[in-house]
Amino acid sequence: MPQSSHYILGLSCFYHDSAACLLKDGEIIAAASEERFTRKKHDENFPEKAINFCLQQANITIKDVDHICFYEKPILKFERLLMTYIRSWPRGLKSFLASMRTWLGQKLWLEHIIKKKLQIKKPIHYCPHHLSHAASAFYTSPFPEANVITIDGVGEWTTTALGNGKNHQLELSKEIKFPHSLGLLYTAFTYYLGFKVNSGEYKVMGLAPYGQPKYCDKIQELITLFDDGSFQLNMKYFAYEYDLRMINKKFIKLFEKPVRQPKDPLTQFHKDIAASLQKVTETAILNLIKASHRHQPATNLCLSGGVALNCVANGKILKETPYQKLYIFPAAGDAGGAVGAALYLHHHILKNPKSNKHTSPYLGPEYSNQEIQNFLDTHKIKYQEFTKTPELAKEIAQHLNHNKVIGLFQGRMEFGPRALGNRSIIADPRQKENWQRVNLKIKFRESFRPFAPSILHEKLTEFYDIETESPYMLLTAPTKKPQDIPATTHVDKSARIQSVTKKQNPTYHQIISAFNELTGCPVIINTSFNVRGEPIVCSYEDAFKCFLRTDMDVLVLNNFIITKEQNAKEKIKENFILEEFAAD
Amino acid sequence: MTQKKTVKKSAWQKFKAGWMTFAEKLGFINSTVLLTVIFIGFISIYGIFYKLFSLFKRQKKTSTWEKFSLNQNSIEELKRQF
Repeated sequence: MPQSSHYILGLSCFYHDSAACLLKDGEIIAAASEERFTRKKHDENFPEKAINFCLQQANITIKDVDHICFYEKPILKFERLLMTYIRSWPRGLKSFLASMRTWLGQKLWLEHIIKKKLQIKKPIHYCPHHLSHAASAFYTSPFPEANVITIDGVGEWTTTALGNGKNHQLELSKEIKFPHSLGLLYTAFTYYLGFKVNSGEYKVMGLAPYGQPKYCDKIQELITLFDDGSFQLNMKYFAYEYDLRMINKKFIKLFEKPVRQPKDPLTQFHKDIAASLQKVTETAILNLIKASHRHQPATNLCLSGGVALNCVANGKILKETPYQKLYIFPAAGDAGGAVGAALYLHHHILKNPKSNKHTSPYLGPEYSNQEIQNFLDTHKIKYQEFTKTPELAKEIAQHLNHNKVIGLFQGRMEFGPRALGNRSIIADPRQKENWQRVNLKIKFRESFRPFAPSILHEKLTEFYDIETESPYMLLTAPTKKPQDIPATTHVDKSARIQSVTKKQNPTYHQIISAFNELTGCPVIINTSFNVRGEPIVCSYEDAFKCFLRTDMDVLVLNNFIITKEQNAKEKIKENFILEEFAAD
Repeated sequence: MTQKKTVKKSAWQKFKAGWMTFAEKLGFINSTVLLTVIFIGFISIYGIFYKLFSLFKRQKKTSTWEKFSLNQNSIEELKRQF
């Protein structure tokens, strides 16, 4: 009699970026963020739709799931809040009232809520926040043994941790506790520069190359770096322990300028602040990573936590530290905690051996050609159908060469904040004006924001000064030929690279190859398929609505190509309700 | 007849919506009062003691590393929310 499969459901929710993940016999068969289904960016609510997707993908019901694991220990987080209010007394009443309402009304009853929503009685497991992050990086890496570092805002008490993974075992040995946090330092400046907290950090990183690091001395007043890799924040400048704001008056006095409002223009001062912050953050990260190697020498490093999404700092790790190989899980933020929690239970607790295969980032929903064709026919949308991928790739390459901006929707949706060729907007990088055109007319976002290149892996070192592959767009490196691909080269001549292999994404590889054959350029612009404030598209209907909402020229839905030229835009628009998304 | 029923339902819905708005505001006031009492009665007392004890503890740090104590070794540990 065949043995039945073993299923583990991982969950993260109730803070930001809620998500679900399903393991079948230790293999990740589905993972998705709730925001993609609810169309609410960074949705923190219970991931009901993401769970349903995971169960459908495995063709099972919740009764078939053997274990459910949540990505943190909620009571420890509650303890941290209470202790912080005691420590900050007599300040903190306003923040206490706001947070206690959420905790007493929802978060303290987490087990009850999960059981009620899922209609189950079995116990829920709780994996500590940083172990969830560490597990998401180590167990999805190709390394049998590695040092693991997690750098985050805060989870329970921990903000930074380091440890080691070997085969199925993973242990963290040291931690830095709240309030000393590199993630919260970065978030405090995100707030100061007028961007949304827990959302706009990547904009600060994109802004940094426009400035000069003139304010490093002042930022060093906020953070002390120790020789052993640890750090301490000077809490007299920060308000996040006791207030709903991140910083206080002393912080503003130190930098002599008020908090920028979102509608205010970005001045050279703001750019210099971003540059200074990026420099200090990089120094702190590299100091920490070098110290981890001294603490326990190793060849391989796995990195996770929200700060691991700082691809500029990541790009310097292999050059400036003794580690030889680096792996960063593509969903390094809290959504990835769902994957880590499930993997920790499967490997470390249940002692199942670790697989050393590369984990695919394409873990979300996919849609059949038949479904898409029915949708197009129902709405009387004109399209071209291609039954063979090489022909489809050649047609897309032709459109790119004619300077068309293309919405590319194919296969399974990516898990994590980066679009890696299945839910992407692509364009020709040789035309410099595409930078502004895609930013302002397609994405409706700030003009300073750079675009990432997708490059054939075979041509990677020809165009970039990089020693390793970068399949998840998490490493930045200097461009060797900036004049050839100006639209994907930032002002400091760097780029956040996605190297594409045939094995990882055959269709996307074929598209870039076709463009290379046609033009001699193995690089294309790749940005996420969404507009400002919108989560990345999930379904073909989301993709089509986004296509209508913008000045995109061409839409590729699996095997079908739809052009604006062929379809009278206004007439088709009448059949759809196009939601407005608040700018983030 | 049907029309009358619709009007009745609509009035009930209006009352319910009004009551819910009132209840929400009342709940907000109640929770503000209760939580303020907890803040003064619980947080303040511990806060005063914490401040007093921390006067004797202040020393310059040379490291912020601490031993990580949350490694889990059994499924029973994983079932705990703390």
